[in-house]
Amino acid sequence: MSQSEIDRLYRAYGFMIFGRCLRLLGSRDEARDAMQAVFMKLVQAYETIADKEKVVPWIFRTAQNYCFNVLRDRKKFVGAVDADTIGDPQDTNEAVMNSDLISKVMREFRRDVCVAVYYTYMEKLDQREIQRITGQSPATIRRNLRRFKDGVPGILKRLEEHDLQRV
Amino acid sequence: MTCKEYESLTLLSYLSGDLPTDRGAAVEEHLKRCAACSGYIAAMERERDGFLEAYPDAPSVKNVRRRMYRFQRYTPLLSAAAVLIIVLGAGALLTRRLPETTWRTKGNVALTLYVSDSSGQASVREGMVFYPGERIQFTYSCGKERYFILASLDEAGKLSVFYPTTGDSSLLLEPGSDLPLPHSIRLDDYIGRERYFAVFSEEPLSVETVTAEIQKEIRSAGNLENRQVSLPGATVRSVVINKKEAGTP
Repeated sequence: MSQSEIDRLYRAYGFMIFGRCLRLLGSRDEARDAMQAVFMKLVQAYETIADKEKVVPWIFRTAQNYCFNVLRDRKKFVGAVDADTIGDPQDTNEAVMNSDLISKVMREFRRDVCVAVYYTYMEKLDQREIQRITGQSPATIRRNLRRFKDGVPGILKRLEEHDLQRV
Repeated sequence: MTCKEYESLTLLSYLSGDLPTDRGAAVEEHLKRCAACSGYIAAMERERDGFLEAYPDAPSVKNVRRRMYRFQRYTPLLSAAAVLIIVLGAGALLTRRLPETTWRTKGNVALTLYVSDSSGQASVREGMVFYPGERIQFTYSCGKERYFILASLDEAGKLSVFYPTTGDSSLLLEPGSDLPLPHSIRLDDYIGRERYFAVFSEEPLSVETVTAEIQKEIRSAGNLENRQVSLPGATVRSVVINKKEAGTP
């Protein structure tokens, strides 16, 4: 791919990738790293996506998968988390809160539930759009959201207890 | 928020300039009369402009190639045979990008191990000696066998599963050659030998079943040496690393 085509892709799609990553990771530094990784994947994949209207759903899905893996491994390799993965003062409170929320949700629910929660509550997409990105049918999305809602009271209770213990 | 006529995904495609001409024209017409959608587009344009102001530079072609084939620079080291490189593949040299037709063939999977220094640079390691606290980074190649489990077993019998990090089912990988796994792994304080098993399959496998099989095979062998674990429906690559105390050669 030529430099001019890479530049065009970056101007067209860079902010979409970055926005998804920032929303999920909560740190601009980490979101930038993730954006670069996902953008490289886009450069590799772009010409293979025949229907260019599918590029945006592809970006959502790939950024989400990448960031979910980062969040998941933050938990597993908690001792190995770099300082720059922690939100800095420049980050918006919303992004940090979102990242914190999705991290906590991921500890408690299966990936497909987390995906439905993320697109519904953080990206505020409707079920048709979520289906375009994830392949989850509206019935599955509703079921996953129900699992989330059913599980939330218990989780909140545990989180509150945990916070109290920390105090 | 957008109206019911157009999804935000479609509007983002329009903004990217990648919408087919007729669809683009229809969206443009719609924007003239829909405040919600034109407001959404305006907000996205602001987000885009803010992003480009903060991060104006796209990666150069050179950097893209370097990142896509990030380990090619180690080829001379390989050819000099000056280093031991752990390639857990079916003859696939770690720095050589496999032909598309090759990695699509069942069985052509590979996993390669690097050690990362504090700046994040990955390099090969002479011998197979590693030290607690070091970070190791894997790259993989796979085609059809995209489901993946990475686990290790040390001489003390301790099993660790690295991928997937949650759940009991294989992780789905992007197909390709020499792609880095999402994260490096920091080695723990265990001193001794440790075998890493990479399990590639076309269908997701249960982590519990796979790890039970690995433990069974190793137990029956009595040591970690030269063990090839056979799992139905999967290709398994494995390698032993030797973890020593810091300062020990």
